[in-house]
Amino acid sequence: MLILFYFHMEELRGKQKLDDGNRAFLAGKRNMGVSQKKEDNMAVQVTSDLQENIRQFEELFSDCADIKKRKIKVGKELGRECYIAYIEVAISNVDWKDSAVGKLLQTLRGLPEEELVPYVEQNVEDISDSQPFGTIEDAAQGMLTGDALFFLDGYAKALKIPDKGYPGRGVYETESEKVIRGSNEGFSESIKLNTALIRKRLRSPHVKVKETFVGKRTQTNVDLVYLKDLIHPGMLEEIEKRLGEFEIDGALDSGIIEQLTEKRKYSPFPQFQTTQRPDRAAMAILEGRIVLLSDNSPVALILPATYNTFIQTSDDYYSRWEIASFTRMLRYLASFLAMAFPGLYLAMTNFHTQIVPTDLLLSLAAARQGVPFPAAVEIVLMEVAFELLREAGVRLPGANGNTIGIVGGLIIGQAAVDANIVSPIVVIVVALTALCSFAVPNEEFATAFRILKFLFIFLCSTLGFFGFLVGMLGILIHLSHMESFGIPYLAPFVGADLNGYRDERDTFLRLPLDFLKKRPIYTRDGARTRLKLKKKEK
Amino acid sequence: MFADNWKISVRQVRRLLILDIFGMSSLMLPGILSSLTGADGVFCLLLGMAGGLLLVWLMGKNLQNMEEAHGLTGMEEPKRIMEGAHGSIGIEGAKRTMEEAHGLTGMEEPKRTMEKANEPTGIEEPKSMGKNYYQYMTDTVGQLLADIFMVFYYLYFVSLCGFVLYQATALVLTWLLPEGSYFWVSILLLLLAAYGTMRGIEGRARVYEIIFWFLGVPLLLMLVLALREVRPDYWTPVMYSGGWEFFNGSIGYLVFLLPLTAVLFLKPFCQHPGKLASCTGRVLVGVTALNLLIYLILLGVFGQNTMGVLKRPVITLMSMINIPGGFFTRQDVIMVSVWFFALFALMHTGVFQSTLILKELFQEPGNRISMGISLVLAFAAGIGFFGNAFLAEMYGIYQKWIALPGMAVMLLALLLAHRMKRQQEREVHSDAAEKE
Repeated sequence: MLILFYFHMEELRGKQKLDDGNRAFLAGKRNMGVSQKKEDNMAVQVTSDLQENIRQFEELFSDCADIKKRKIKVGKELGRECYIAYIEVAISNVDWKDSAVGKLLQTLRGLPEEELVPYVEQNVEDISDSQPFGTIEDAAQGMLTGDALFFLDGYAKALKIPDKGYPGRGVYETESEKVIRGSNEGFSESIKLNTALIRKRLRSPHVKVKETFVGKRTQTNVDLVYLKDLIHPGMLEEIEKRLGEFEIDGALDSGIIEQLTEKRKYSPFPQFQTTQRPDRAAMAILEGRIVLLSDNSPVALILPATYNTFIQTSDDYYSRWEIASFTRMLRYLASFLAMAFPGLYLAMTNFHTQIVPTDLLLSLAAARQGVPFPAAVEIVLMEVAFELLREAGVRLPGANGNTIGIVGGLIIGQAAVDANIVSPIVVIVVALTALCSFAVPNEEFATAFRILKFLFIFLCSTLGFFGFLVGMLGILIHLSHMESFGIPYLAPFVGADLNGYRDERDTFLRLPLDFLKKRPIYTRDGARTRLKLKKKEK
Repeated sequence: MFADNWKISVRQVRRLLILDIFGMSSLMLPGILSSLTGADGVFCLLLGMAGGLLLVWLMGKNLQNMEEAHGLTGMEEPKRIMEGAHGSIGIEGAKRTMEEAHGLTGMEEPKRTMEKANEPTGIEEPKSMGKNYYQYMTDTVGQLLADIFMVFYYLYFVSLCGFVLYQATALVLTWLLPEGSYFWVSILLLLLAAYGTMRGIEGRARVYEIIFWFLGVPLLLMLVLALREVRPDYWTPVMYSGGWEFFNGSIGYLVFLLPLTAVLFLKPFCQHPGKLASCTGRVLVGVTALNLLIYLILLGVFGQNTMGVLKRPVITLMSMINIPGGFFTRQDVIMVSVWFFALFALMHTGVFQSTLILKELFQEPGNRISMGISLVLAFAAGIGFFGNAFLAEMYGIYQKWIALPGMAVMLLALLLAHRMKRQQEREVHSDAAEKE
């Protein structure tokens, strides 16, 4: 009984700690800095005794070869000691004169000893992004963000001094979401760079960047970027609440945050839109949506998301409306065929041959002559082979990936047909389905259709067109119930009345921009006008 | 935030009702009418529509009484409630209230919606903005009669669900899956309906809102193409059928309009309850027009005698239409989906309504037991209709001579009772005023 009681109390304590962590998240504080210390009760204050500080710090970072620690003499007489610690590649240590740390040391070497501490207190604490810390743990956390840490004898704080930070890729062209017209800049792994790329496009003081940290051990920086005057306040509250609902040891990519904050975990359909394009993110923010950026991830999450937003691309709005509408309709069709085409082929050839013209039916039958497998097995074989090729192509480096495409698509496909393992028509069906799945602009969204395709293959191969209808009905019911942050997933095809049927102008058809004067439903009411046309002078 | 799981728009109600009554009536009625009245079936449809409008008028009056019983009318309802909550006045207030009536209430809404999204609660009590039909009946005719009326409605909807399940399964087995098993097909359909019902009315309304044009456009296109085959001389002779057949045909159409009574239960779920009656009237006229078009085309293509022996002439017609330059030789398999979805919508309505009624009768906090019972009964009824033609015939008689008059009598009784009650209240009020 006592043991049980002990475990029960331990569990309760654990819950309490979790709650503390959540509160810290919501307050936008560093989760580890606050809750971890509470847990371990071991916060060590920085004192004016440099040796004691060094001892504590080096104890914390023992066996860390990548962290450089240096004792340096400062003051005119070089009689006062200071201590600098930093992560090797994060500080420009080649030429210290060019770095903030180098310049600080140079200045301190020119000052009499008694003026060192007042100088640091009065001048250095206020410079951009430098930050004083009162505890060794907070200071260590500060250093781990990629800056240098400075201790001075007689100064009872540790000072974080900014420098170039961790190495990053810089701004590169996006690998996915290519556009014909529009910017080619893509997000990188640095969250600061990513927020800057958004701010470069939205130069408004109303653009807010709310910072939180996720991951007990990774302390991943997560930014929520939005336009304060456009978003529904409830939406921001909701995402903050969801971010506070879990405590994980590490969030190495936005994908982890996405999975932990979405509500329908068993749905194949994503509830966040993802993008690697700053212009797409900026566009979403202009619609009153929120962009979630995670450090070390070039993929931004956009919320809320609907079926329609997954089909849209940036250049839909940069191109003329006729072209945009045509490609939009193609994408809608592609999203349907990526899921249903193999199934429909099976239903048509196995169950309802009467709808196929006789000539075509005969040529289909001729093409299948000598193939030992039923059509359903053929389709599944080819689909699995194709998915394997795709997976292999993704994992291999660029040039090899292309080779896989050629080897898989041409040689294996042709060989399979020649060997009578599959019929040519099945190769065409699978290839067309693959093309359709590539035409869906969002990878996560396209993946949902790729998975559901197998369900349709099963339903249609067993129940024919009835199976197709059952599958469609099931998916429709599922999608009709789904919501992303309170927005129906099928909006504006459903509930369009909520915004006066205006959102329907940007669905299958992207009407001329003159018709899109109002922002979509995601925007706070009263701030929906985005375009005003000035009257032409006669 | 915007989605409000228990409120549906007038457009959603309209599309739901159109699918509800169009599917069965267009599928079954032409054959029945043709065998009964031939070309006079057109007039049967018109007379049936007139009777339907009378029924809608009765429903509208009762819906109005429901709102009056709450002291509110039409659009004033949300407006006043929201004004009360916010103290807003004038244009700004009205504007805001209209939006808030749509569920755009800012901070609180997403929380609630998110919480709801996690709860598979099914048919919950909607945000009450007035009396529901059961409460109205209880207040008007007393608990006992209200319970009897509810049982009557329950029997109607659950048997309707069983009958439509039978029809939908028969449709699938005839046109799509000739070697399929009735048992498994109907189980699959019922499970889908249960899945749709579990998450409430809004999801259900959204399904039919979205598929409406996907079904409507191909159907209209096919009907236009069928016009080429029509021989107008088949439309005569008129005024040829006997009075009894004519009356029987008109009543027959009226029976297919009875699912419209589901509107009475929709009031608490509708964003604009004041528009329900007019919306129902428009649906009735629109569907009758479509049925008239289909009937004339069918009559013009098949003639009275052939159409009389065809079980589902409209689908046979679909198999005969040649699309110029078209890829497919026969479209019937594809066009069956129109009636499949329409029948499923009606079956779904049956499951939803019967679950709702049972839940209200037994004050069940969730809806799983009510839905389970309704599904089992519907399935049993479907099996009965499938296995026993006599039962299906009896069901026709029940619909014509019990359900239809019963519904009309109930609505009339409620209307009269409400008037009498009002009269009494007024007398009491005037007596009290005189004494003062």
